[in-house]
Amino acid sequence: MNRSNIVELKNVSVIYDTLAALQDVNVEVQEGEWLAVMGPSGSGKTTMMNIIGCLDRPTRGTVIFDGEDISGASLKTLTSIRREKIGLIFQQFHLVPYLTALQNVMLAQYYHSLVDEKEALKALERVGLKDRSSHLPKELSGGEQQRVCIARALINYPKLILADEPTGNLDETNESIVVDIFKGLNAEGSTIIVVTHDREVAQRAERVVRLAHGKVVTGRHHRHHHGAHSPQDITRAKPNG
Amino acid sequence: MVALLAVAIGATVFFGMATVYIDVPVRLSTAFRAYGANILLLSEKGLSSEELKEVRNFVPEANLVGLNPYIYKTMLLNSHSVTVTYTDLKEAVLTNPFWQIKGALPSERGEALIGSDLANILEMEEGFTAELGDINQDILFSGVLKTGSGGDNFVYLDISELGDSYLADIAELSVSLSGDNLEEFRTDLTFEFPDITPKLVKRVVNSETAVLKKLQALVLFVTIVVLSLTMICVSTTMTAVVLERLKEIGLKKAIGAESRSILMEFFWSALILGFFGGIIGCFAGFAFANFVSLSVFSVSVDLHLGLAVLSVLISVIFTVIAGMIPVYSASNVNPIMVLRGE
Ligand SMILES: Nc1ncnc2c1ncn2[C@@H]1O[C@H](COP(=O)(O)OP(=O)(O)OP(=O)(O)O)[C@@H](O)[C@H]1O
Ligand SMILES: [Mg+2]
Repeated sequence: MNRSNIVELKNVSVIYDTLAALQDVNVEVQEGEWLAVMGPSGSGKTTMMNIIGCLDRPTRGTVIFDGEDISGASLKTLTSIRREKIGLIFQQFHLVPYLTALQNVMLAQYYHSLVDEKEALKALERVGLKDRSSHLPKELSGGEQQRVCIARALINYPKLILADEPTGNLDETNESIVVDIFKGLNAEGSTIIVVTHDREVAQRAERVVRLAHGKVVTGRHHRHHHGAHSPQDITRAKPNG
Repeated sequence: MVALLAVAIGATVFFGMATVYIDVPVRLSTAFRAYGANILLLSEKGLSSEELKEVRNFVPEANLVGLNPYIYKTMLLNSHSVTVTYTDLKEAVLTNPFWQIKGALPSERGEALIGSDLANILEMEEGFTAELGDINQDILFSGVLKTGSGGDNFVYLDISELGDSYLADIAELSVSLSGDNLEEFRTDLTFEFPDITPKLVKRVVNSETAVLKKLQALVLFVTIVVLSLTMICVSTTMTAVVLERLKEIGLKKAIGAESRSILMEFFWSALILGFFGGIIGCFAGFAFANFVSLSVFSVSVDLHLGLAVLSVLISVIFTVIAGMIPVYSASNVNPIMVLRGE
């Protein structure tokens, strides 16, 4: 099966003043893939996610998103790609504090097209938060806030879901709830890219890309497709020495 | 909430000060009438009682403080030659609020007031009687009058002693108008009564106008200073509000909001804020102006509806401008900058 690429980074560099946060990075992500990005702090993971997530433009190199070269696209174009095709999940959740869980989800609908309360409730139900829909973020636990953030990210059926350290602020129980949600989404065909420090989270992805000092160190394909993860897969995903 | 308060305070100051600014001249020209008549009515052939009645009807009731004729006659009082002044004594005390009377105003025929200097010379007091030459009867001095001017050598009799119709030498008119309004009124009067020459009492009128102008300039100055301070306060508060929501703005942009929709959101909230702040400010400003007017002039102010509308309008416009400047730069923030880790 020849799946098309949702994102291609070709020799992408991002340079801040003199510091190269990314250096000649080449990464391809296929549609329907579940990719984990790992690497030490400061290795350029967030920088790469910003490029893929159309939040930033590379200093050099080419970015192809969904078949479109967006390396030099206008901010307006990038905004519309984010709105139409990308769901963002943040380590700090970034919920609007004075809006309820439901309203936070509907916010994404509002900027996308039309608000639809039933749809938004369904999204919350999907992350197991239907009964907490009228709560404010401060009345929710970290895990619950992250699930609201996920519901907001998937409400508009994005082609690509990007999560930068989604479990960084969560305990193990919530971490596994979140990863299970990703698994479900991926099984339904969503492309997911997760930045993580957590080996267990990375092991559940199909493939791991490792960054160090702004360069890709390994980009290793698991042999299987989404779905069942055997213990062997987990072994394969582990770092090579 | 803080922003609403700032806007409301701004509108309060504007509405309150503007009300005071408009009201001060009106109130003061009333207060100024304590300094006496501001118009003298002269006529070559004398002022008939009928003419004066017409003049009285011509003056707007709200502005009429007092109108009284004067007729001067020389008579013998206990064989002294004195000037007797006939005037409408009830009106005269309104026109000349500074008159001091020891005793009482004449209450029936045959009673009179005696000027304080004359009383001294003749060694008389209230309650004394004397023989007045021409009338050939005894009169009772019900009171001693101190006018504070040359009039203290006169004897004052009420004009009613002369019957219903008379021809006055001169008349004093006190109206609560000043500046251009007074000048306009005088012109109207000349037009309406060609036989009468109304003369402004220059000494009184000029100093009043000067005081008024200075006072208005002062109020204007204070208003401008306070208003610019409030404007700075409003825009700082708006900037703080926007900064507080910078993260939210970044998030909205990250999930695909156009800068324009963010601008519009803030535009509407600034509009609503300005509107309600303006309305609250009108009430508070009215209360403030009323308080000032009550404590200074002991009169409540009228509600200027046009001014209220203007205040709301100005507060809306200013809030939108003050709010949109920081919002404009905030709408251009780079979402990755504001959404980066704690
Ligand atoms: N806006 C910026 N200006 C200057 N330097 C930046 C900027 N953003 C990132 N950097 C630098 O680029 C490098 C890569 O940053 P990045 O945030 O991508 O790292 P990361 O892998 O996400 O790290 P972490 O695991 O700590 O989140 C870092 O050295 C960082 O200091
Ligand atoms: Mg990072």
